[in-house]
Amino acid sequence: MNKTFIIIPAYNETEVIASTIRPLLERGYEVVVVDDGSSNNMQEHIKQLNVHYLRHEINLGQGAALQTGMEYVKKFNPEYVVHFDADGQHSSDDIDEFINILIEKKTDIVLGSRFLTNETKELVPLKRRLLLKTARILNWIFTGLLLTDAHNGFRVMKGTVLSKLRLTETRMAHATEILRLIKKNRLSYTEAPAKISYTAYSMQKGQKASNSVNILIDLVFHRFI
Amino acid sequence: MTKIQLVLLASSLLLLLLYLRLFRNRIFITLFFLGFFTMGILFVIHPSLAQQTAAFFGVGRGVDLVIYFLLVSFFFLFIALFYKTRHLGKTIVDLVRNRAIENARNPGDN
Repeated sequence: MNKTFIIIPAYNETEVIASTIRPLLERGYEVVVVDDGSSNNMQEHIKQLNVHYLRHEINLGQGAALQTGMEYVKKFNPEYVVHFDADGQHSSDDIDEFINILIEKKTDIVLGSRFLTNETKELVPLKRRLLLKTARILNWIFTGLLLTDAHNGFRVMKGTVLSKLRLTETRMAHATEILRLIKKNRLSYTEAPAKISYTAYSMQKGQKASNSVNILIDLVFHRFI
Repeated sequence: MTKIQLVLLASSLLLLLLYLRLFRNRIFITLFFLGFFTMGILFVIHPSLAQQTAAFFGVGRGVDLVIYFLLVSFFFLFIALFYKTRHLGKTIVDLVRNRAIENARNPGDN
């Protein structure tokens, strides 16, 4: 089966998740929603949609949800696997474009970046931009990869690399762990500009600046201990 | 015997009883804590013994030696507990993940 699987980790999303999923289904992608132990009625919003639905009985974190999705899709032998945020900040238009880049540049994984075009760069609030600049440097120190965007949830990869991207960071530090695994397993990668639309909803669901400290603690602890 | 010696002796004995009970099936841990508390109780009864031990290690006061020793053991204990918790965390993640995959709802199942 040559299919593209979109993995969407979701936690306490509202009806926004349905509008994130619909355009993906219209394009014929297989959508895998990993409900990370939501305590609201999220399930209701996607009941009518033709998606794969997996549920963590307790909240484990976004990294764990992505890994569950990746482990699940293995049995379908997917040709391409996509990481996609539930809050509607990514664009479904980008997926085919990224797959083309994957084919043209013969890379294993294409990472989305908000900082390759001025158009998307300016959409990122200043405070967040500074935070991401710092994270970018820290990622470089920890992984040896210097990217333009440190924490972009949009990634497109070949199905064959799934076995080399086993995420153990259950929370947000998985973004750095992915880079470390790319380096460790000598996967080829490239960055490409990803569209972004910030809404009040995605800003509220997104990372708080204070959480970056937690991410750093996760990284330091799990790297050295 | 001073009041503090009485307080320390009473708490040491109580703690020793608790430890012996908690780890009654673990011989090596029991032996370790037996030795540990015996040393502590000896130090309480004969403070000069702590003083001599400290002098042997090149530390000024017996109390200082105990503090250094406590600090180091605290960090070892922290690491041990950290590993234990992380191991537990991994087990939980695996369990939850396997159940999620087993009970996945496929498109068209609704």
